[in-house]
Amino acid sequence: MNTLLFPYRAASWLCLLMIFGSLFTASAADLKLEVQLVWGTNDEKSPNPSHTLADPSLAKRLAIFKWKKYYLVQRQEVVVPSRSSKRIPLSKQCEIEIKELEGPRIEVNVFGQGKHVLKKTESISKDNVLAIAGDDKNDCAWFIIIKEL
Amino acid sequence: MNDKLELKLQSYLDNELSASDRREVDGWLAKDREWKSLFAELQNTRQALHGNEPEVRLPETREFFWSKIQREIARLENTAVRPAEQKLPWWRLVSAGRLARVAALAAVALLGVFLFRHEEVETFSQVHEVDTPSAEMGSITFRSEAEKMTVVYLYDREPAPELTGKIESADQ
Repeated sequence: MNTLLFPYRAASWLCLLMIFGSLFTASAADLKLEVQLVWGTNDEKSPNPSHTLADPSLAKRLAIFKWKKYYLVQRQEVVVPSRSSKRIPLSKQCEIEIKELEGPRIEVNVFGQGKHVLKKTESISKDNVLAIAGDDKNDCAWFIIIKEL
Repeated sequence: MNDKLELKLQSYLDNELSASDRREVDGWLAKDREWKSLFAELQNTRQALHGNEPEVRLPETREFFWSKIQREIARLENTAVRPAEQKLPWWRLVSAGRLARVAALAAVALLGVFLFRHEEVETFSQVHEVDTPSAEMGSITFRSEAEKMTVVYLYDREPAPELTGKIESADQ
């Protein structure tokens, strides 16, 4: 009798295992990110003395652009709760909203002077960097660098 | 002296002539002052161009520059006039087993939607991953595999107030 029931019992255990497994994989963790606002310029000095030179590894990454110097304006470490979003002010005029999505992916919304200017969805990992950039006055540029910690 | 012979002299200067042709041009230069002065002029022009050729360096990387070209090609392709699609009457769609094929395709599509709903959502979001809701701003996206970096570069479609304003206020 027991021998006859064995396939059914095995199937039941397998089902339970799959259900628990799917529950475990579905519960994503909070996402820890580093967000930097960087200024790209050809000037030798930043007009704001509080700005420091960007991390050499980041400056090397940004060397694909035409600017000679990259200054760190602001750096934040943020935790975006699983399947939620977080708004991060970067300057008076600029703020971003990061939403944690399944993947792991993030949805980044950029607001300039209160206006929604960009929505970008990107796979995120510790190796990959997302840079959102744009031109500014005096042949300078701004960069929002997002990286997983 | 005619155009053809002048071109031959230019080829002589560029070292593109055969040995016999070179000997022929050598003969002209030895005998004729007009040929000699033209040759000197060509030499001077060549030297001036060679020494003063401006070196143009792209302000952006190759990937970024190419992404801009791709964007322009895509824009021009989208604006190209498409030929009007032939519209069939509804009864023609029913005939000749077309309905069966359409039904089979719809069944497969429905099955796909139910079975791979998650994957479909992923694909859709990847295709539509960049959106610039502002009419004044456009964006260029490119990926630098060397730097493991995805870049979204925003630009003004028309002159508009700057996104971030002055640097002095950026860190406040």
